[in-house]
Amino acid sequence: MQSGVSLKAQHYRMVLDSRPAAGFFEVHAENFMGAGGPPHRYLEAIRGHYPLSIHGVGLNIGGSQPLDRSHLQRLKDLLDRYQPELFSEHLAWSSHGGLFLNDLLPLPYTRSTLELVCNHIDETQAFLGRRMLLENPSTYVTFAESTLTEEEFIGEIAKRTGCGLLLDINNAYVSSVNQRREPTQYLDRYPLEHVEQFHLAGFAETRDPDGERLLIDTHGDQVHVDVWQLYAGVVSRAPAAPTLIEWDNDVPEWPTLIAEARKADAIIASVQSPPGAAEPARAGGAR
Amino acid sequence: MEARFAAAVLDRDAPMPASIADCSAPRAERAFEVYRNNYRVNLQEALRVTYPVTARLVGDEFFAAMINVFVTAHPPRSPVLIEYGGELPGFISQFEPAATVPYLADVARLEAAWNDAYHAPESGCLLPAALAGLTAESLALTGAVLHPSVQLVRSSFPVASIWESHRSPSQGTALSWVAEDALVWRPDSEVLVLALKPGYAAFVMALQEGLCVADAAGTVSQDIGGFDAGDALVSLLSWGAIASLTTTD
Repeated sequence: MQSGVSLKAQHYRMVLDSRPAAGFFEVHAENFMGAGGPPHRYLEAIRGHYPLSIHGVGLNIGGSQPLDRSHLQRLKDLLDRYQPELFSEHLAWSSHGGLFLNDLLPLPYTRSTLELVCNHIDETQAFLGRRMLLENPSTYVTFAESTLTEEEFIGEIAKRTGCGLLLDINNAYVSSVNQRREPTQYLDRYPLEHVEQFHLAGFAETRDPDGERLLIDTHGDQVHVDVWQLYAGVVSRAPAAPTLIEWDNDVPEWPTLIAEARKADAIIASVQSPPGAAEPARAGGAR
Repeated sequence: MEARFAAAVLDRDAPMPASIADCSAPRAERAFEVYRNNYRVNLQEALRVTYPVTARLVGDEFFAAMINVFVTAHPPRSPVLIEYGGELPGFISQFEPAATVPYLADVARLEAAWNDAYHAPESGCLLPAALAGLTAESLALTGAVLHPSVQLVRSSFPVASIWESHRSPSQGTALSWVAEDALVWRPDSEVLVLALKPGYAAFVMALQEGLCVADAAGTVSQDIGGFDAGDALVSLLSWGAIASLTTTD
């Protein structure tokens, strides 16, 4: 499958009118939870011509509180209506005490949070009647009480719940830099055998008080050169899976957006050499 | 952990949770700021999308500062942010620094109505031909189910004209400073806004409450000359504002 891109309102009309080549589109579930109107009209029409991925940002799977059944129901209605090829959510929490914090917040990685997240994923998959993919978050802080690394935690979840994984390579990079880890170390240990989708996006760069890089996951820019390099390393050894370019802020004109997807396609083509053709230089790891 | 984390995101003065690794280091403090900032900036952006003219009328800086206060008083309770911010018009009407722009709350009400109409359920609408064959007597006893997107915004300011003239940054036509009732609805794929003639708003409200045409006409003030309920009904039908007719006899 060719790589896909985020479907943004400013591109609805053009996509319908000129049907540009794109592997698939991805939308945020919560933006389509209104009763009717243009969002549904466009999504229905566009879905008729392209594969679709629905990406939830508010289920609170990593939260300590019970899942919100009314939100699960809205999600089920949406998935039943549009029958997307892929559905994903985040390893994060976003609601507490009845308030929605509108962000993907981090959780400690311990045996007890593992239990909790696995229960939430079991509940979600049973309620929705379908498998979900779980995405690794961008994080800015970690917790002293964590006893597992994020990649161990995620691997354990995939094994226990049978969910697939969405590996966001930009998030892996952002989190690793923010935690002063080597991104290749994270990706070398990440359970690639469960990956069923990749995300790529751009970040913003700031500095901490010591002058060290602190990266912010903004989905507002082109994919960074380091992230492309990591991506090439990962796709050379991971099972084939569709890639999405996420771009949610300062959304560019279509040619700029789709060019990123083409770039991902070119990388995939270059690492998936035809049978018999040796390509030793690409066979190794991420660098 | 979550409760402390959430409290520290919501309130800049609340301490970060002690369970954050190296939480006394300046880097952790700076990193935690990202979460505090995301929360506020993302909600500002969400409300700027719902209330673009309101934001334009006061400027980005004022809008951001006002939304900061609003968000503290009315944090979102649902992950469905397209529905967030319905309390903003009421908040603005009480927000002292905005008092110098007396029509701001009404413009915000119009934009909230626009957002509701945009996401309202789909429904067909009747054409004026639906009235063909009705006698005057049966017309008087007819009721109307309005299109589910229909919203009314009644204002003592020219709310529809102000909104219209500020939809794009370059606009800004001369306004006649009169009270306006705005009808906001989505008969098909686009949301429409129309300044209603005198009497129409009372008539529409009465129909919405289930009154028949004759009774709804009776709620229109006698001071309004030239109001004709039949004409009003035909207009509403031609605008695509009526989903179905009912008989009330």
